[in-house]
Amino acid sequence: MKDKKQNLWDDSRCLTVVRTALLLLAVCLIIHGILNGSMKDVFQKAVRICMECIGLG
Amino acid sequence: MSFKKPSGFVWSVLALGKMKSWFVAHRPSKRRLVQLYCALLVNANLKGFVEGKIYTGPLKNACAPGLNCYSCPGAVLACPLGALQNAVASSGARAGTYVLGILMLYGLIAGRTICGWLCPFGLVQELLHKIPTPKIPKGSVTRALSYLKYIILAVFVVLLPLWYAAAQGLPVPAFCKYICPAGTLEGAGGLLAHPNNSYLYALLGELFTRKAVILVAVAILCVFCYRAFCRFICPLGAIYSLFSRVAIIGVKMEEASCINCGECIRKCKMDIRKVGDHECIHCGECISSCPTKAISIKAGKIVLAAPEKL
Repeated sequence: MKDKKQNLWDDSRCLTVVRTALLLLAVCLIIHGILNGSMKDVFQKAVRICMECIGLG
Repeated sequence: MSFKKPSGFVWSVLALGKMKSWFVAHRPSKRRLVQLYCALLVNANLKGFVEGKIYTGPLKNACAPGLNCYSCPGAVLACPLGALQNAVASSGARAGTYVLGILMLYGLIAGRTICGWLCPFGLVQELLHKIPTPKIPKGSVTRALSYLKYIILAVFVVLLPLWYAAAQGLPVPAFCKYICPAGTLEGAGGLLAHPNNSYLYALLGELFTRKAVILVAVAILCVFCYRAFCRFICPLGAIYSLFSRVAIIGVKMEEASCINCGECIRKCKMDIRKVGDHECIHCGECISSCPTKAISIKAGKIVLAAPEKL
């Protein structure tokens, strides 16, 4: 019983670590994307009619 | 013995009573309301439908969580899948870290809960499936087909845009161009329906015909097969499914209370092997089916939906 609880706690702790790492990575990627101009690329594409999307391009 | 003919008032009361019971029986679930609100929210540019133009404001810097074409006149956010393909195609010039970060953030926060609760195209598929017809049950064939979306993700979202960029120097979003029925429905449907865009009719060709056939085929399939596009084709669902083990919001099973009766898997219309796996869209339909009340929807440790709350 104690072992099972210990494993669960370890899993939960491991999950928290993985989530935090992924969250930090995601935030870093977003900030990097804002700085390197890839956010602007998204905007430039999104404000023009996408001919491929509507089957004309 | 003679019966008195009911008056108009009696008929109206009876009709109102019937209408009330119909509305009570067809009252939308919480999930349906969230789906509807979300579909309206990401397509809040109603002026675009009136003018036949797409939204060009600053909100389009951000990506929608679900599949929603950015060429839909109502769309106020960018399509994450279209943005990802363009980022892949132009990765030689600039790393598309912004889209990767956004997708990672969405996947980490909600994973495939987005498919079940927030995706506008998921709502369309579910409404189509409500049309009363014989339905195709899930089985080994549908389970095998559910892996097709990973192949489509690799080929149409990554490899083909890379190939086009390398061979022709063009950023081609291959999934949008050759498959995406959401683009045909929301983008082409929304723009071509407006008389101001009649010039676009002159550009319609074989590509549009092919995409229209795919849209019709997907729509028909969804009538008979629950969320057919979502289960077998959608690369966005494939991306979010990679986060199924770490997503913060989602259906969680209390292992200690589970008696392995399999009732949740029988009740589920998706091709899951266990509750909360990569095929689970966290709709929560299984919550009420669990005899031991072991299933709930949680955000971390906060319970969002549990049997006693339903």
